[in-house]
Amino acid sequence: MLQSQRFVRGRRRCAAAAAGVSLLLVAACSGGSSNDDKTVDVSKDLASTMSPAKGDIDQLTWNLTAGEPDTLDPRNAATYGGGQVTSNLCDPLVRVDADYKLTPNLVSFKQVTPTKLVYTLVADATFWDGKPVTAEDIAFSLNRAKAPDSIVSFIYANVKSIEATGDKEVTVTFTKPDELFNNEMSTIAGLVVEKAYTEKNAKTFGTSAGGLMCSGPFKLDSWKTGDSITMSRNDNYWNDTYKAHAASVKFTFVTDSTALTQALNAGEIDGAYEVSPDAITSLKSNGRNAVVFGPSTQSLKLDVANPGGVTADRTFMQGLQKIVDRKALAKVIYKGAATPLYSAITPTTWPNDQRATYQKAYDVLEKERAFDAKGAKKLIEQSDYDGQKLVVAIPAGNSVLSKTAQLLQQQAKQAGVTIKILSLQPLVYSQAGYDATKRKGIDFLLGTSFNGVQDPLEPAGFVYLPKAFYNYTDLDDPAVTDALNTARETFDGDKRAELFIKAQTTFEQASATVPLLSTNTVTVLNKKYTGAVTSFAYWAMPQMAPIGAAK
Amino acid sequence: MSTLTARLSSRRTRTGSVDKVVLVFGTVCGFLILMAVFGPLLAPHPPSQTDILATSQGPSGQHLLGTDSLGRDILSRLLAGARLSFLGPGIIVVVSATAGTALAIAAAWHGGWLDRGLNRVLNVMFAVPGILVAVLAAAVFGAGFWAPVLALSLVYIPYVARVVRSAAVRERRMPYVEACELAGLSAWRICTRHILRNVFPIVMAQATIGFGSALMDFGATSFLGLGVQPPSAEWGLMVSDGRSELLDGALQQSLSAGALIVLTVVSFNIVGERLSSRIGASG
Repeated sequence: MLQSQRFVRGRRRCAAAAAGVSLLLVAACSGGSSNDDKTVDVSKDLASTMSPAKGDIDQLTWNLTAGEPDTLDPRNAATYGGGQVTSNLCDPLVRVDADYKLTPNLVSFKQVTPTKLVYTLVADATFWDGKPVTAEDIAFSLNRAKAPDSIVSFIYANVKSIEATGDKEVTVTFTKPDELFNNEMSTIAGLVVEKAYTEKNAKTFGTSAGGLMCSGPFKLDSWKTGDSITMSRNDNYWNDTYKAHAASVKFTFVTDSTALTQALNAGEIDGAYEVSPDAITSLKSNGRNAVVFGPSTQSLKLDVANPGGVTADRTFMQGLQKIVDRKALAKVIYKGAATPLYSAITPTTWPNDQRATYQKAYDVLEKERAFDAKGAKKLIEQSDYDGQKLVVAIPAGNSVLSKTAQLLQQQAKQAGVTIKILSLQPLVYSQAGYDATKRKGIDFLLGTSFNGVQDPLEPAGFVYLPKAFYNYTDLDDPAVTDALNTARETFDGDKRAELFIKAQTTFEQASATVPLLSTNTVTVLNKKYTGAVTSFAYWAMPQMAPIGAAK
Repeated sequence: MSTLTARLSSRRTRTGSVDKVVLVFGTVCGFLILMAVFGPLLAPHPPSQTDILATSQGPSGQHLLGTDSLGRDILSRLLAGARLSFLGPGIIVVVSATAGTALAIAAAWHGGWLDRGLNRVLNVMFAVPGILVAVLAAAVFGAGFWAPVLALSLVYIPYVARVVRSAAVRERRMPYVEACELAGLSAWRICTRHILRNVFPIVMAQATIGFGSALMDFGATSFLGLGVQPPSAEWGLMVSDGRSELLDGALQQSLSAGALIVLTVVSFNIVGERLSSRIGASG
């Protein structure tokens, strides 16, 4: 006992001495470095895919950086991890490639009339249990996704009926024309599940206990809650283009960026998407992994959390838009892996054919919102702002958002605006995204969001229509509603762009959002492997399938 | 009364020799306390002032310990952060020591159901991890300085109460207490003027040990993002802020804040343990 006490005390003295000495040595030993060697040139580095794989592999360990999915039920798998995993397990009706180009998948499609869309089953696909995929299964899956308890039900807002009208034919009838619907069938909104299995396991479907039954290139093997999800190759997969190279894929749930970086550098984890900017330098210098930046529909924004108050004052919000030095934010916090964003809807969602039209409207916003500390201060002084603290909520433990908030806080201070940063437990922060009671007392939510398809109507529909899921400010402007609804009814891309920009001009003036950055997808993959999709399109693709041996 | 005088006199004699370890680490503790009091005044730069042109810099004449990822002077943040880093544990220790001592003396004096009841409650409280209660408090009352301070104050009560109760029970059985009762002194007077005075060194030793643990737990809540909020400087928060910079080889923020936490915890623990041992030996 005495010996052990002595040992403990001896160790403590050593620790104390070590602490003192290390404090003195820290200054001498630690390396600070200039900013320049830590940033990346995104314009040079952006890529949608890696070079194709040259062979099969036995095992791939991939990390879900945003953490464990809450469900694998396709219609509610709207999180980063949930969507990514289910896209490997289930087939969508139509598919996007790495450049967001839409192609048929299980079905071909024909817009028979503006309000009638016919899908014809073209794939000779079978579910994992060997049963064929039928029109009945497709109609069942779409009707299930249309139900009010489905997160993606808004996609079906204009749908009147979905019926299996033949052995291989499903007919979707709309109450009014809907341009967005077919694009969304490439996402979780259009994933097909087996009717018989789903009905039999209705209560546990999509959970770790109930699993699911789909027809994708991978089969679900196990979901060990809190540990991992394992899936194995579906050797009977019908589509050779997406036949998997990896015999088995294990998804891990490491959310701590330091731990993830160490695991990637050590080779314990083979790859991950959306790796924190903090880790880029270390991963690049380690040499074991390829670090690739890809185009993405993700954006970093400061969303007004509640209606009314000073954030409803347009002059104040105009000032706030000018307060932010977005270029500095991209360089200092994101180390170059992001670009300044001046509109609520990120340019990466613009359809390729109408980019010039959208760009013209964007340029106006960019000019209006460019960093101008003096101009911002002047506008703030003219506004109703009277010095009150504005609360910006961030999820606790997220160092990138914490640093972003602190930088915003400093920049706002220079314009006379006081910001208080509030760290919420990640679960509470997540709930604040859809529960108004959790947003009480909060002025802004700082966070990232993403879109499933390359169509600006998707995010706009979520935020700017009356009673929309993320319409935190209760915006109900007939001009915006009419323009967005008409745009959704318009199949002509040019006319749709005009209508969208008309709506955008109005909802941007309401300033429910301070757009900050358009962030890129950061893909990390062990150099033993290649073939990964590196654009954000991975989220709606069987992104594990093309990854295989590099040699 | 003569027994008490004799005991105190004996204790003074036996503890009269200078303990060099206590002297060294007591000096360190004193230095750290002075840093907490005057640190913010000595900071060479405003601790929250960002400089995006000088992020993650190494040590230089302008920034002796370098800058963090937002270009803030690390030395200034360490000095300014000492205040909150000490204030939180300080409040925790004062509140828990006061409440724990009051409960312990009351239980020792009254005995019976109150003593048994208190023991049961203390056993239950021992089973609950302090950091978990602090996290729950932050969830209920919101992240910030006060939620973990109040939660940890509650959690630390048993650590003081159990030790002080043992001493108070021993004092309760002393002849001088019986003499006081025979002399007609009230229970309140005996407890506050005599028993409290005799157990006070134990309370102080326990509080000193507790301070180190409280500083660790309080820093841990800030590290998790649920205690002190940015941009305020606090050592636990600085360790957390600097964690991502470790990957880039910029060690100075996490290491320097971590080193100060270790130095503080070890120094206060050694002083507290030494005091406790000497009181035990003399008692």
